[in-house]
Amino acid sequence: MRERREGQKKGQKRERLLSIAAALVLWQILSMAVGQKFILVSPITAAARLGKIALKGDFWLTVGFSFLRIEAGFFLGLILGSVLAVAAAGVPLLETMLWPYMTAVKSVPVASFIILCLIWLDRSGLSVFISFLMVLPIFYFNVLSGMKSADRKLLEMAEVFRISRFKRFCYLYLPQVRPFLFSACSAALGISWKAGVAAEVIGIPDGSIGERLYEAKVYLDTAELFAWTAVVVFTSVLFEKAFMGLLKRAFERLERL
Amino acid sequence: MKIIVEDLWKSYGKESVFQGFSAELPLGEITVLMGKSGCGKTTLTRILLGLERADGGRVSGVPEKKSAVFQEDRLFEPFGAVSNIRAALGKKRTDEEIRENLEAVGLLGEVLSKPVSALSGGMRRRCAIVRAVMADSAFVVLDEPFEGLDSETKKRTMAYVRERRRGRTLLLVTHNREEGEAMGGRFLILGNCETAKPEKDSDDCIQEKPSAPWKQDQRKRKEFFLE
Repeated sequence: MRERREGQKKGQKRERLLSIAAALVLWQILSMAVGQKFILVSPITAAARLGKIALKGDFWLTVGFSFLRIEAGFFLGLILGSVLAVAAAGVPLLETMLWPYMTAVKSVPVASFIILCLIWLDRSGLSVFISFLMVLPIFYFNVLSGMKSADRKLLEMAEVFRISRFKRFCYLYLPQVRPFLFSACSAALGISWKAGVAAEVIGIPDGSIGERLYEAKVYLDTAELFAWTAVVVFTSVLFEKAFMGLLKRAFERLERL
Repeated sequence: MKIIVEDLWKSYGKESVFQGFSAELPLGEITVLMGKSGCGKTTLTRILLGLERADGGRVSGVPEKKSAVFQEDRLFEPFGAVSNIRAALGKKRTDEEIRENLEAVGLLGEVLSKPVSALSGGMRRRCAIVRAVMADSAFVVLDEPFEGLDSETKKRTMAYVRERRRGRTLLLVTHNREEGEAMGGRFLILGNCETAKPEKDSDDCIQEKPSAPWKQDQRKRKEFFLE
């Protein structure tokens, strides 16, 4: 059974790599068909430019600037969204009171928040706040759904045995919340990067990836645009893999306690 | 000292379970609750455990500290047997004690390192039984706890429950009279599904009031329960 599952995983990986290769080939063909570098560069040109900017001294500073701010916003949203969801699951009045705020944050266009933040905040903190705002409702609604899906029969058992709130949280709620939290993390990590970089492009904080993308737009430097976009994609995917792996391990450790 | 159930009324919609049911459960003793399916055995245990409210009547004398084996195992699925039991115990109980108790019902070795979701039905049941027995409680409710156990394991588990009861009040719900007799309990038999009312029946049946159709067939009923 395990071997079969591992075989399936390997097969899936191989298929994914093939699909990436096919997409790159298609991209190359399209760029050759268009024939104009400033409209669509080839993947080879974009890769070459990526190599070139990666060797520059300020490359890692730029990546670090955006990474730290966007992930700080993500973690703030994860912590506050989860804490509020746990509290709201226990206090229905709080859930009702929070509903308009969370729904508003979820529905208001990100551009409106970015412009508001430019009025309220310093530009360097813009991506923290935008990334936080975008992921907050994702964690809140997902964790709340997980808390509400707790098994009633287990809750009754916990009531009879007078199991403490802390133990109920660890043994009963966390395993129930786990799938909801995982899907929230997966969605929120991607969104935090998209919204964070969009905020940087509009706010243009000095030394950010958003500033580099803005410059690429101003100078119609499509190769630079693609190279920095690839940096965003790689960083986001790598961080997602690392974070999800750690989260999975943390849950496995908890279950072995 | 007794747990007293007085003039209990309970219905689910139009379906009446108890109509003025009364019973007494002596504290520190084993009471075996028997009766046909749908008679209200589980409803009575739920009311005694404080999980359900009666429509009318009074229940008094139920100890505050309770533990139970429900009809379902109600375990924390991703966790192991030891973790499941530890979750229901106070800080004073050690993992060593938990392992010793699990061993007493035949759960040891590799089984303890697996999550309970990977255990067989019988193993899970025994885990739930150990949890209820080890819990710091004065009133233990066991709702068909030995269901699904093979005869050898059943005997061993019953002996474990009897030995480790330590003078606590125990309410055993079962369909099997032999189980009740083996546990050395006093019998409380619910004889009627429509109106459960108590009446003195025999020496070992502390209370029971059958309705008219059952009364007509009392001899048959006695044969069934008393053999």
